[in-house]
Amino acid sequence: MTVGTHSETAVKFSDIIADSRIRERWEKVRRYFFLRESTYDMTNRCNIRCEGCYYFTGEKQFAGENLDEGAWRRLMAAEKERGITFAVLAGAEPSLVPQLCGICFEHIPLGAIATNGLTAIPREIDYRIHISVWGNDRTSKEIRKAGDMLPRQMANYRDDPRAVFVYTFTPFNIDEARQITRILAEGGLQITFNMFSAPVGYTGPLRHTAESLAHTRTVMAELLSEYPETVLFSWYNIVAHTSEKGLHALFSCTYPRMNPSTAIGLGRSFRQYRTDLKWDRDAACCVPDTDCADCRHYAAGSAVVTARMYRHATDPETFAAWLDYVDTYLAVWVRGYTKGANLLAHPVSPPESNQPLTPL
Amino acid sequence: MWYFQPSFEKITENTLLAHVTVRVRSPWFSGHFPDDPILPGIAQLNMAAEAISLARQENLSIKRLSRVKFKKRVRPGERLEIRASATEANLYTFRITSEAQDVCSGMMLLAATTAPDMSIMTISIDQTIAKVAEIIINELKLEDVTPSSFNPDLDLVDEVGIDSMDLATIALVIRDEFGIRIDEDDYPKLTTIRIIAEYIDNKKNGGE
Repeated sequence: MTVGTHSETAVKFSDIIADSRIRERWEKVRRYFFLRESTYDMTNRCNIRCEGCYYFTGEKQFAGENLDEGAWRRLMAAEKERGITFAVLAGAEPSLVPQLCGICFEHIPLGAIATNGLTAIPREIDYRIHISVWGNDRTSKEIRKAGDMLPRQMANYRDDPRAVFVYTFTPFNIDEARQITRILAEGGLQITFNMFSAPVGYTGPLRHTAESLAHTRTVMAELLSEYPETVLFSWYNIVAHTSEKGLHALFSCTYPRMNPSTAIGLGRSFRQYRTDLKWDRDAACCVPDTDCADCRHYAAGSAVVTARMYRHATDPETFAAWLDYVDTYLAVWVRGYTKGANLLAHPVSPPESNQPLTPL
Repeated sequence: MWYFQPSFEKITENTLLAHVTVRVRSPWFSGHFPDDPILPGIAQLNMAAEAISLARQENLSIKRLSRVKFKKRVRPGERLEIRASATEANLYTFRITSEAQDVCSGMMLLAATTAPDMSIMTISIDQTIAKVAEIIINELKLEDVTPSSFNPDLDLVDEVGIDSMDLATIALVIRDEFGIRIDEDDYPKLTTIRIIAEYIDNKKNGGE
């Protein structure tokens, strides 16, 4: 399969969206441009301890817990007041503090919760629930020190429309994604893909190599083709997240850690609150303490690639690739948003990357 | 400006010698004429009057013209020499040449204006402001505001509430309308309609 390339000269935007399929998808996704996210570490506790966990790296793990519900109410009211419309509840394990998650939902009704899925989050908290999977149960046992993870996760979230399983590819679990995807498809559940992105200073074996990236690319493409109803992903997601260049090199990360501007966008509004309800602009991104040069994280891409609309509006194919990415992002993160069929069935090079892609 | 700022070689109380280069991307040429760009006569006269205004550091406008002759077409990028001398208060003979060929000559009576006489520039920027306002209203589906009532100095982020994706959308429509590229790194600077309009005019006139 060949890889499409974008043209040097931009086609007029009105001509790009003259294509009815592109226009329809454009109109669909642009209704969500009001989303402005911030992320919140909910507790410094977790019921498992995974190798390479981004939470238990750096300073943030040592922040004290604030379990004062009044303080959380005041924080979320203030967040809503300053224009935050999407809450991402993350570290260490939000399901251990459901009362705090409920307060967030009361104030900001759109959001997502990153959880290991071993403790069910009450249904009335109607956020997207991202359940992390790091391979089959044998691999999970080795890396996460927890047994029977997938059956327990599926039992907690069976028939739950909030749930999307997030499979993190490491160099050692690539082929296991086939088994996991098949099981989830049979269970009527959905999956999306994440890439292990090394924390700062990480020297362990989970950091991806050129070979593991290429292998991951092949398996992702295979699963996307075989399970289009189960896999929430697009060909452009594959391109963006398995390039040897990381997301920052490809798209220039817009999170405050890498973006000094406070004028507009994420640089202006994004905050990453620690469990003590404090935040530090210099450390603010969706995966703090990740090595930016190695970052291919799905949450980072959801903001960074999405923000780069202008540079993708060069020709219909490149813009369609971007639309597929944004459609995927919204389906993964926003409750009630239904993903459409991907507009493209082949990969396209990122604009201005000058990076030839490995053909699939 | 649609031409590079005049460089003055010789200025006395009553005379001046200035050099001006007409920008290749001056908006004058897009409509006059698309396939055969020529600098209009009114633009040449305005250039001479502005040169005198700048030399005298006063706001002056043309009150009367006489004996004006146009002898040579002015093309994009052409370097022009402007000579003017006062025969009496505010009455100037002027001559514009290009490589020693006469372009335009005549007499003009100038009068002080209370506001800066940047008439052509003002018309241009006002048109751009109105168009940018129209684009923002259409793209963001703003209600209760029209291009003429939209305050061009409102802070678009703080007071109108637009975000980066809105601005990217507006930038794409501006790219279509004005044929310019807006660099993503420039987004943070584009805080008001007036600043966007000035940015557009600068880009159209060949600025970086």
